[in-house]
Amino acid sequence: MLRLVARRALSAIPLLAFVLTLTFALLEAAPGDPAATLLGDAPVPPETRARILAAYGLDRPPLSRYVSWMTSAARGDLGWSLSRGRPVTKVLAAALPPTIGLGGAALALQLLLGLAAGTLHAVRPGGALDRWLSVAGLVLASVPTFWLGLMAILLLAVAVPLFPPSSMHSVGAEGWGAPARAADAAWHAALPALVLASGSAAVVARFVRAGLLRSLGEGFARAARARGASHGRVLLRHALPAAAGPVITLAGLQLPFLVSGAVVVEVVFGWPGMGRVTYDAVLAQDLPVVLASVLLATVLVIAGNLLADVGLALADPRVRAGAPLVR
Amino acid sequence: MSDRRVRAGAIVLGAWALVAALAPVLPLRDPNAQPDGLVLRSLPPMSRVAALRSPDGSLRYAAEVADEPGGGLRFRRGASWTTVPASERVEVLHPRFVLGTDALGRDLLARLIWGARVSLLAGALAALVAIALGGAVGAIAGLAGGSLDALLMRATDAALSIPRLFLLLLLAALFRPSLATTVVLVGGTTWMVAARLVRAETLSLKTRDHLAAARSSGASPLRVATRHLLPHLAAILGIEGSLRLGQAVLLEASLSFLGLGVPPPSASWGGLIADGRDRLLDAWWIATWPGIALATVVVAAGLVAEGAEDRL
Repeated sequence: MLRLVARRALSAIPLLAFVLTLTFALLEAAPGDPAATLLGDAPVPPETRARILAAYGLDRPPLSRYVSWMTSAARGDLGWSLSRGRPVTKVLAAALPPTIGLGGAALALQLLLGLAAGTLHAVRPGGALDRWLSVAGLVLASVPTFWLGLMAILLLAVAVPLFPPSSMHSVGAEGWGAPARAADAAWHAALPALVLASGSAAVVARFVRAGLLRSLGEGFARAARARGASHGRVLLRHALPAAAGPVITLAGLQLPFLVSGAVVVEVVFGWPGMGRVTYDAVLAQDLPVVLASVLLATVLVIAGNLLADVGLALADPRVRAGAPLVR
Repeated sequence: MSDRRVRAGAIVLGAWALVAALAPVLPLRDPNAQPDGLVLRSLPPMSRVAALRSPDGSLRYAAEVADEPGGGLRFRRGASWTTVPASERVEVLHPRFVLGTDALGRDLLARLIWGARVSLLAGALAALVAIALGGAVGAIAGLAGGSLDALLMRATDAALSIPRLFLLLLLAALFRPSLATTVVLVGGTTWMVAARLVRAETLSLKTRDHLAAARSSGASPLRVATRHLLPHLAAILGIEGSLRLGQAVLLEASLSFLGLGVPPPSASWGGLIADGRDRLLDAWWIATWPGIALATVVVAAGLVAEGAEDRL
């Protein structure tokens, strides 16, 4: 298990180097003079201009800047946020927990709803419930996430005020005890997490349905049925565990979409996470923050994939029994 | 079953394409005109207002029209009444706004249909870019093999694991938003699946005799790729293209919703939803219609892809 984690963590390094190289290349390829962006339209004497460019290292050749870009990133120095006047790492460190919380809740909901809906699908394949769930899933996977968010606010926060429409804490929550604050945050997270999870949950449900139908046709399920187990018992106790394993892999593959979706969901719901911070940084032309958040979002995906692999290994009975991991 | 899905999806997509193409000749109001910000502001769907048409054809909108005792009539805009003498000979109309109007009094039906032009064009072009780019990468990797193959596929994996919207945000920050940049950006971040599919298909086709025959008879790699490989790839590229179309329309809408896609005043569906976001509480319809329109396109594109894939 440790070897698996170590090997995957090592294989992430070239990927991160690729992302850093890509973002550097994009910066170089972008139109416009960085000096003009920094200095604005005001007339500046040439020596001041040269000093400012030197301060930002813009007077050096691209290759030298590339090397220092890579080495400082490797040291964990991601630059200085122009719009917030703080180190980029500080800005993103504050935004990371809300995003992980929201993404984690959405991931859990996605698996839970997907497994539940997929099982309902397979109760009577081809039946009315199966078909209606298919239609609902197709629609949920097809509507834009941000639009679903707006409609959820309209219906579940305004028309029927069950959930708060925006932000992460109630007004005045600063003075509450830790359990009350956590419950408050969970209440605020419910709607955005549900919206973020819905599209992927539909994909998971389809996948679970296919897996269940496949396992129901296999020998062990037929044997259980022949021993007199009810259809429901065969479905839940025999077919579902067999079909659930690959779902973890699927959830890992869906992760980039989840992290992407978090951007619009955070913007719609005013959630103070990475997506929101990145979006604000784009509007403020605060490039260091945007660059670093692309990197950090990729790290999130890699970490999530690693977790999915570990989860898959743990779910494998051979591994649980202590057998060496065959990969 | 598969035929029915393909047909239903194709009909929906075709209908949208037709309506979008015909927008300039359809009897629609000007999508960007704001004829009366007071009377026409945020009208609900199916609303009728009064309009006075002068003999010269000009329209004056009114919330209410009443007859004057001595002939002629008066009309109300906001709180103030204006009297029109009988000598002006105005005609009273009652135009209907089927989908309502937005906060600036623009007709939403017209904006939705003109928005379809932007959204569908951007989506279709981005899907083409993705298919072309992914197809090229996949075919080169499959045909070349060896270290070039390994390099290209590692790059594809890497590109797949960068969350797309973060990359798009960076690109939007670096390049000025326009229809062209949106197409290139969306296409340039969605080619990876096509690359994998085409590579896998190319590897299996490569072992077939007709490719070996073409190569041994001296055909250049480009000719092998275009004349002998491409026809066999058409089906999977078409299916992937259909899926891409739906996803590209969604991505473009996300970007436009964030204000980083096709810039106003050309109304794309994502931009229309952004307009409606600010008026969500008092005018739900502004954001609702473009979302439904988007969903129909994505569902239809998905149905076509799914049905065609099952038939394959």
